[in-house]
Amino acid sequence: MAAVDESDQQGYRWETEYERTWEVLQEDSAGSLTSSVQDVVQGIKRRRLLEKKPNLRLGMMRHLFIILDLSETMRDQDLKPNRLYCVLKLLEKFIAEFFDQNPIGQLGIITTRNKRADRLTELAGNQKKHIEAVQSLKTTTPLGEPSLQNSLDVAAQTLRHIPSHASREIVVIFGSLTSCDPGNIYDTTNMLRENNVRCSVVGLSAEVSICKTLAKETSGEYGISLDESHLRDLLMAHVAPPPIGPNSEYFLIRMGFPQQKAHERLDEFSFCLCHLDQPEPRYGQPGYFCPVCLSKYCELPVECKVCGLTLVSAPHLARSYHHLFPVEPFEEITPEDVSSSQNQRCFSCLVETHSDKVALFKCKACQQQFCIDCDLFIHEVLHSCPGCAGNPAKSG
Amino acid sequence: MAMTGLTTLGSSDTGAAGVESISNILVVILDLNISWWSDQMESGAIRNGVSSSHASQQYSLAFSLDQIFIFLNSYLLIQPNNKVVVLGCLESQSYFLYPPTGDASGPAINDSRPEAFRMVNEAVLNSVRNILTRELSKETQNSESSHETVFIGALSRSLCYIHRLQREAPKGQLVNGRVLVIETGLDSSSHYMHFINTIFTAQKMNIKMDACVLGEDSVLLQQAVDLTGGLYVKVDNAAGIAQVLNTVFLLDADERSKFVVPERVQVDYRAACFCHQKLVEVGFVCSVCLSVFCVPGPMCTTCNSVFKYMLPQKQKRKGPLTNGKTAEVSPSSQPAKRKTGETQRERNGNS
Repeated sequence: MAAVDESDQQGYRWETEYERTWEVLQEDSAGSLTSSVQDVVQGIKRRRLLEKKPNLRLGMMRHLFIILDLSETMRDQDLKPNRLYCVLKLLEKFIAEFFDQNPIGQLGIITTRNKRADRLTELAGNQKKHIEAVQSLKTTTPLGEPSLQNSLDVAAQTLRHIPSHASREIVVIFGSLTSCDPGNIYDTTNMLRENNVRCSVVGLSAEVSICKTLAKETSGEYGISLDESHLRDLLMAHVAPPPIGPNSEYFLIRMGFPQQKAHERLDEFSFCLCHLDQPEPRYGQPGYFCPVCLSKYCELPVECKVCGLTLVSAPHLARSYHHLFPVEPFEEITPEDVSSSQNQRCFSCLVETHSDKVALFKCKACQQQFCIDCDLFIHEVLHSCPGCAGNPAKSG
Repeated sequence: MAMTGLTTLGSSDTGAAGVESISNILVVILDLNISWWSDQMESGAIRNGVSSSHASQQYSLAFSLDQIFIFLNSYLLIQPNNKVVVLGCLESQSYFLYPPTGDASGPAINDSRPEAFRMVNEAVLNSVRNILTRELSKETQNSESSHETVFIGALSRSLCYIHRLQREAPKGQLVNGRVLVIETGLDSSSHYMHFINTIFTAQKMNIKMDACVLGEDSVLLQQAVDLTGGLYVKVDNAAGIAQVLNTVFLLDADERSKFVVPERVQVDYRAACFCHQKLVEVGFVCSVCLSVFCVPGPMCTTCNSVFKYMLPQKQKRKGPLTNGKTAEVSPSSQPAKRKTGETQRERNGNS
């Protein structure tokens, strides 16, 4: 253990020098702290944007297992109302966001309590099922100790059989400081590393050595949450696809782009394969027909149950392109640079900016100016610059 | 008041908690394509067999604008919380027509409704006039005019604007946005990535997109409408646009379920391959950058990744339908056997 700690460049936080965080805040001429606080908040928001590295090869076809700790420690009330509720609420948002950003990704959830690991949902692309499953956890009681090794093994069992072009990931949400494992957990971490499974851990209490080792060995991330908003940031960091592993291979994957069939064709008797297991299968509703075997599905994306072809729609693929071609960070314009003759409104939301108070940001490509809120909105949600979108010279 | 207090306490995790008032914003994106509107003025009159200059006025932009004003004003009229935003787009540029961006006509605060109508109408008319005169003077220099319009810039700007209004809304007020695109020109497919990003953002913000197409059918808008759950209407006669706007697009999404609305259009979601721009039903997708190809190649032309080997899944399935293990082994062992067989035969022949 000591060897691992020594090899780290950065030691523990409590070993570093004392930070005088309050000295960052400076009173302005009117004696108010608001502008100073605003600066700090804006700085934090923008730092996240600048940290993104473009033009990496990303693992776009994601297969992610979330391992959720349901041990007794999740009853702690340091997160409000308690850890479990807080995590479940964030997890719902995470799942929605994950499928929004990775439409062809797949996700599964594993829970661990009482020294056991249970598969809550299998790897699947259906967002609703996962969210329902997460909601159902609200009524369960966290119990006993978690088992990191058991749950990693369960996840690895499935991930091992995922074709190697896809990215295999595990995100562990770990509230406990202990883990009850049946064998040597280092064997498990080695096995995960050999199988190119990227394991990240989000800790809720304090740093745990084995979690740190696990994340480091499998080139994942390890973060300890300070409070609810930090926890959300840590979790949401896993929404964007990770860089591709060094040993990955590239493949061409055969995919089908089925067409939605019009109502008139549905005079023919047809039922979908996705609702077969339900008491009342759906007949005669519009759906997507697999171009190879003509089996019908209600929703895309899906893997054809008959011929195994991945069925997607073109917008789903295009939705993922923004990870590969992100909007470049905007340049900040200092108040001195802004001449009085220039238009002082934000290009996209028309908010009037007073150059002494609100910072403006300029797109390097189209030279339009944006306010801080639009800057964040464009980079985090919209993923395309309104100025460049209309510009024929720089088509996307 | 006590009731609202209770609801906020009771349903803290639903999005609509503590909503006291709802304000609706309608963003109208108007395509000001010069060549289309001028063509329309000539051909529209000829098509209907009238040649007098008075009749051709019915197909002019000014006449259509008047009709759009009727629509905007009635939208403002049906609910006090309704607001409109008008954007114009011309070829590759987009402009805010209302609220006005210029300093000259600052929005005067006036509560009487007719005044509000006048403000919208005048602001839009003035900005359209300014834009067109500026553009026409430019047009004389380079006579190249196209039917293509890029409305995506205007679309993303309107989303930013709605986002700002949602941000600035006082607590307890819910801001619903809706975007109506009135398109005349042809689609420009060169901005497909921007377009998709914008549409999915609208979908995420729960903003419905409606489209009223005056010219050719627009595949892009059909997709946008289908993805966000709006309405798509193609109008053959631009002279009667007010009727369509007022009957179909006046009501916001909540009330639509109670009325008979046009049927949804069937949308083609096939992908165009990167190599030949051909629409494909079954394609090959690069695992790194998700580029679509209609025929498999040795490497990806977009991200330069060299593919390991072709179609691993397909090869597996070609094997005999026995247990998984034997199916994998047999393709490699069979050719080997055949070779030995052949060599034996050769030897036999030789001897």
